[in-house]
Amino acid sequence: MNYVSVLLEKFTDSLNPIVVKELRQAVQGRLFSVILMVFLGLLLLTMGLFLSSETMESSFNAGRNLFGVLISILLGTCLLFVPAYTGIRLGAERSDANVDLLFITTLLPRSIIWGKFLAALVLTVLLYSACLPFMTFTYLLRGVDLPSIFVLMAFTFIIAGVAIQCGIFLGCIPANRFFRVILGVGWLVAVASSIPTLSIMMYAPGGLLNSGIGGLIGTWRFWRIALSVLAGGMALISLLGLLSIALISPLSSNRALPVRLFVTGVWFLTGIGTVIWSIASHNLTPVGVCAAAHVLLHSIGLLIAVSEREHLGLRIRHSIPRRRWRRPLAFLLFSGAAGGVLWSSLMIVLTLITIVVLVERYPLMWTGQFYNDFLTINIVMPLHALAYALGASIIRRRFFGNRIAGGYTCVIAIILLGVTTMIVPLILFFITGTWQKDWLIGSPIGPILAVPDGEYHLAYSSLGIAAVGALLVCALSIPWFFRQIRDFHPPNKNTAPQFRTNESS
Amino acid sequence: MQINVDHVKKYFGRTRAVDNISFSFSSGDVVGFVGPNGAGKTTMMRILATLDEPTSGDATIDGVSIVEAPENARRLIGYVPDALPAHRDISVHDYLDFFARAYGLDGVKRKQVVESIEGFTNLTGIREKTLYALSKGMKQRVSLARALVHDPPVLVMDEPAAGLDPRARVELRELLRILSGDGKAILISSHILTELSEICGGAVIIEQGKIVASGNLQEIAGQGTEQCTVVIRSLNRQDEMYKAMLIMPNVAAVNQLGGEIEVKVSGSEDTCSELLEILIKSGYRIIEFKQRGSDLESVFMSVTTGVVQ
Repeated sequence: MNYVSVLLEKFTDSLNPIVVKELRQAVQGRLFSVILMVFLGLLLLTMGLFLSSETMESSFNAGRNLFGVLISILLGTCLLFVPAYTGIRLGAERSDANVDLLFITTLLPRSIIWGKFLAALVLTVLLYSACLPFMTFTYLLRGVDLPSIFVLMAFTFIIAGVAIQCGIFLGCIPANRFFRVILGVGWLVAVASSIPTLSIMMYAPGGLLNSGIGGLIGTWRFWRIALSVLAGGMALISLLGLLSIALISPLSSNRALPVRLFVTGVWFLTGIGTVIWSIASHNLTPVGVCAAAHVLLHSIGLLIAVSEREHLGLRIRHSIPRRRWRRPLAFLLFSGAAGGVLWSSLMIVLTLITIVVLVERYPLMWTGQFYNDFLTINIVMPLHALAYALGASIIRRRFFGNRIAGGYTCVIAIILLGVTTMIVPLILFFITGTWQKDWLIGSPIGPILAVPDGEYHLAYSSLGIAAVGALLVCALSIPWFFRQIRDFHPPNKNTAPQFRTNESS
Repeated sequence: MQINVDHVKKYFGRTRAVDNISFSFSSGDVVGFVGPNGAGKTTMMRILATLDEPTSGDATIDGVSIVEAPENARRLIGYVPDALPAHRDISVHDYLDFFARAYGLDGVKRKQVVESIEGFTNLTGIREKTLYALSKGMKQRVSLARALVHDPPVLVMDEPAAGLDPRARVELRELLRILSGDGKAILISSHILTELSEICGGAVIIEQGKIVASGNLQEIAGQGTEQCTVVIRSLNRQDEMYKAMLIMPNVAAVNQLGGEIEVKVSGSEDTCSELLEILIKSGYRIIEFKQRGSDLESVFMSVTTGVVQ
């Protein structure tokens, strides 16, 4: 016994302290115990009702039906409760001095976020392990095979992991209580609406449960889907984790660097993977989907990048390379508004160049019209984003000065976007009493709606407006870019502390 | 162990929260950090605790820069913020154990350290209570215990005595005396100046982000005034002595307070001694002649204007 306790002690010593703390708090608090009891009660009640129903004995799908209900209860608990519990706790900690206190220890922000994630994952495992005997019992009732049970549980576990990281990310967003409530409600609606979608994926004819996963396990198709889901889930968890780390890192730290390195890595790997896939399958759709996703991601990145700091603090400046030839790359990857805008723009340009080169090289893989539509949408969207992002930055600097912090530039950009996408069209709708897509000419939504309907005049007009707008704001922002490029150097060694006199004994 | 704060500036937009502050202190020193509300005390302390970054300047703890190596500096600093821990679902012991783990203490050593800190801060009896259920004084002890868990050579304490009852203040003062005796360098901010003058050897007074007076308490007292205040009691002719002193050279002001006379003497202690000699030669039977030191509170009032940015 003594030996066991020593081993246990050594094991907990090796754990992230945040995991130990979070689990202790979960065990000592009443909330998790209550949820676990309610969860077990629901499982028992459902099982009891099923077993006592008259149709159960004659049905060959009784096990499958019961499994469907049980996994819905499990999903509901793991997608709603665990992420909400973790996110709300983190949000509450961020609203007082507690997170500050974590920063004066030697714990790094990444230990805090991954610790919270691991602790939530352990709670999820606890819920899964409580559910597993019930799930296995459904096998005895016919209609579902064991591989289906375990594969679907693994599939939902990955989704639960994404939901937990999403909850942590939302808990990290620095916002007041009102905005937090709005975020929470939005998240709740999104998750609640995803549960029926997941259920349809599993129960619909041809869905995962009906197709009998046991028979597919030996096929390449199964493993391709399984590995894609796993890789996608891991990438999403990693991205949300890095964004959360960036959000809780001190302002003085180089918050953008890990996120940009990760996104660049994912861009490279997914690019290589989908290019090979497209060439092998003689169809450019995989690389097209991947490119569209990256263009969208980096267009959002443009709106976020303008909110970063324009004047770098001493801590970041100390980490700027002293060798001049390394600085351009560091400028793109380090925290900083101008660097962020240039990095996102560069990634978008490289993505589109890749597509153009591939279509030139393999012209038969995509039809001319589809390629044209693809390029129109994926050029107009980032141009609008660039125009709104830099436009918001100019408005903040020219009209608000120091009254609005740089961090709120993206809010101005979103307001501008809202004006052209919603306010102006609505006003015109109330004045004229009719609805026209042309009113969305100043919004990136306009071309996205117009192109599938073949309304190219709107798409090209919007493209023209976005191009002129982007050129104009870029020209006006040249001094802003140059100032940040000029200031991007390590602090002068001559300005190192020189103690002359001690003013106090 | 030497702590040097060198030309630290911190601007929030156009507001200069900390404006070119330099001072230093070393092991065993207890230094009061005093200033009116909004003077920049908390900002300066957060900078020292590596929670905020200075706009320019630096501070070093035994040569470790808080700007260049904040991670290393954190190991050397115990920071007690003005906000107290108030978790509902963690006990005192688990809270301290968590921070001990966070500072990398393992196994038996961690247990020993946490138990000894609990003993030192008198928390052993309440180690299983949740933080939320504790009184303000007890939370302050927990906060101090947390700051001591990694045995830092420097303690930075922001308003540790705020809201404490007299007994808790006395106990805190005793703890600080012991810690100072153990060689810890302590920077402490407080509005209770009488409290500070009892435990601090030196003080830094700031206003609008700038140092207005600094040094050991005697030096500061000297900076605030060029007068000595003496209290005199005589067995005879007290009214006559009061009138006589009104016209004496070097006497700036005279107040008769019940059975004693308070005299403000322009000049040094030599001038006070001369005054005593004159009074005795004049035949007054002096039974008490006591110099009243210029306390931190009066110096604070004389060197600060109360203007907030």
